[in-house]
Amino acid sequence: MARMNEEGQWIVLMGLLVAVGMLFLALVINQSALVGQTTAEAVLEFPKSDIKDLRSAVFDLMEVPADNRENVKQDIYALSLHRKNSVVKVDIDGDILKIHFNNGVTMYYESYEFV
Amino acid sequence: MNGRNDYGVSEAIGFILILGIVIGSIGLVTLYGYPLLIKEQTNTDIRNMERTMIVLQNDIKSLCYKNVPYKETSLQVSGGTLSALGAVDGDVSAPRFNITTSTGYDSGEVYLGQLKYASSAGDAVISVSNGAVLKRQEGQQGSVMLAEPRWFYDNITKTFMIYLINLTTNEAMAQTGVGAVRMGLVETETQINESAMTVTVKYNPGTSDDYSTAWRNYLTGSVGMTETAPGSNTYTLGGVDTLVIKEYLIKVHGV
Repeated sequence: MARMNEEGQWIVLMGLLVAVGMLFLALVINQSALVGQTTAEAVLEFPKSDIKDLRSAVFDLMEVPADNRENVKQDIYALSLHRKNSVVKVDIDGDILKIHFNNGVTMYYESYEFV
Repeated sequence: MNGRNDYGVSEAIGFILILGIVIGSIGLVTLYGYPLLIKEQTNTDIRNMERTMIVLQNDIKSLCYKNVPYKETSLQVSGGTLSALGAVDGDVSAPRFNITTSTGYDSGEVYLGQLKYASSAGDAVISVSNGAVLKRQEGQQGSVMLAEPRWFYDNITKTFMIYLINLTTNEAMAQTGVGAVRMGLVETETQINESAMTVTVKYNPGTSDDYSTAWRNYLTGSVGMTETAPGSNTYTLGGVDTLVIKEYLIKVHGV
């Protein structure tokens, strides 16, 4: 046999490193599609405008004469249920306003004090 | 390595050894590697379809909860068939729900229909039914819920919301390869029952698509109901003041 030349061993080693690196990248890419999807879903599902609409309606409710508030409140409950699929509860106790919102995905609770 | 003795080295034996190793390797790859590759391909197809079914579930969510009238999604069905099976009242093979309350309300048997993917190489079956994405293995007992529907109990107002999503078709439809799923919302019906009550939900798995394990885990876990007896598929929830049942009728125009 001819004399062995061992100077090319780093090529083999680099090949191995590249292979391991590609395997790792493949795993990361495999996960990324799922992560992107669930993140996008979570953003889409967050009922930001629903909560903003509800808060706006509830603050308007404070302007309504006290003896008519219950009727308006029932309207807000019904509209939330039918249009937004959410369960809503509003409590007005003196200057303290409590809002509860739940649509099965997001639960929101707020306590607001008028001073 | 000077001075090595090469008298015992035979070119013929070396050649036979190398050839043997090559043929042996090819044999090993054909016997074990190739089936593994096929299996991996099947698994990838099933994983892709899991995602696709979640996309379809999101379409149904948009139709039901976001006042969107019509949805069309292009998708690729690989390694199996996607079919739309409309709800047929009285079909004993189909899964169905029955909701009753202690105050005398009875929904009757509600048939829901499904979008169903059946893998051709593997035995996985994935369904979008009643707003949930469900998966099971053909011919086996268990099942899992990949994505949950939106039933919930609000313990501040003591309101229990149940969504029933009914898929209908004009005819049975199936596709494989690239295609589009077109769905539209036909009507919504809301029923509100207000009085203190216990709500009973009965899931009847039917004979062809048994997802009772998935529904059991969902109803007893996420929703917080209790099963009356193990394996009875009957679940109760007490202390409910308001029961809201929203039934959506969705028409699958084409797959």
